[in-house]
Amino acid sequence: MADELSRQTAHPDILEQSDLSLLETLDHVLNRGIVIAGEITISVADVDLIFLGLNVLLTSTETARDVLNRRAGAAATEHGGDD
Amino acid sequence: MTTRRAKEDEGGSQGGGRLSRSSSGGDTRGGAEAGGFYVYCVGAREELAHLFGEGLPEAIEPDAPLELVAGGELAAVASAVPLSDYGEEKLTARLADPEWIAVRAMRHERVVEHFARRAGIAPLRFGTIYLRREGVERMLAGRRDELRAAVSRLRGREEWGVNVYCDRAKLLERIVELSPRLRGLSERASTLPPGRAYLLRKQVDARRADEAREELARATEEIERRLGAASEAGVRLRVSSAEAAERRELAAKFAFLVERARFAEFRAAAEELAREREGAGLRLELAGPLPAYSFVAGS
Repeated sequence: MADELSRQTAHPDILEQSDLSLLETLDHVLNRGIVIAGEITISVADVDLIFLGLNVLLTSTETARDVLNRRAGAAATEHGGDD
Repeated sequence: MTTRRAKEDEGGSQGGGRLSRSSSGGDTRGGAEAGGFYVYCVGAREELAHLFGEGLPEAIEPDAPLELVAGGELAAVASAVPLSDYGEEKLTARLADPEWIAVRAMRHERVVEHFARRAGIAPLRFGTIYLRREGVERMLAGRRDELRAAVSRLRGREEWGVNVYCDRAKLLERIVELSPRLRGLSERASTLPPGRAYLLRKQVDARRADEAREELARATEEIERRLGAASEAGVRLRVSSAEAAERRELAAKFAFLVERARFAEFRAAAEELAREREGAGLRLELAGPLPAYSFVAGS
């Protein structure tokens, strides 16, 4: 796995490779995935609105900063046992 | 022509969020500690059970651990959430708070990623809550066939995003060489007397923008087709307005379902396309891997 990772990053930069942005990740989690109507179902209609609101607030609490920034790190370490 | 995924404007949701309760919900008061079950993903019971012996990521509310709720040969990854926070009244207020939603959405994502990397799972959309454990069990039984099909289709496969960026100035500059029609016209102009050549060149200039748009459409279609052939499925995604504002050159977004064993092939196909289209001002970006949220429904 680590092998595969280094192979990917060693590639010439004709093809960029990145982690998903926060907005893309939110779009995924909030807009896609199997829809199962639970007994309580939260539906987030407008990811843009969330994101714009978030941009304003992004630095307001440390916990939020921590959680929102952690994804990149988690994706990079293939074994992910970071907590 | 664009094929943007239609996005219905669901009115009346001030914070961007809305919540609904099914009639079967009922009141939970009277229980010791009123709690619900938040569900992240569904997979094969035995496969998931093995993963519960190892370290697990934090749940949507970090003070409650992840749990496995089994139903037949399927199981759901879930965790307890306090109804004091996730109950109707409080949740409505929470949904007006972008940070509250984003933090929970990210924790949901991390849980799903953890299991997707290690097992065949079907990811649930953010926000599915049951009032009791039995509700989750009932759901597993009631949607058994659909869930089993989704889990087996997604096993060993990951979602990769492909973003196509276009440097429009560069494309406009190159379009006369790239478009056979414009190239023909401009070659003819060079053989004509000045007056008629001028008029023809005017025509060429006037058609540049249209031709550039068509060239971009052709290129994105080809990207979709060739990467579709190197993967199990592909879908074109909507470019949100927030994203368009942030990344002005973003011309198209796709998601592909890629078998892990075929990733090198997929990547090579993307690289080849990037190389071919570089001269026309196009850039490709690969983002992922992600759990296959975009491919949970049958193709």
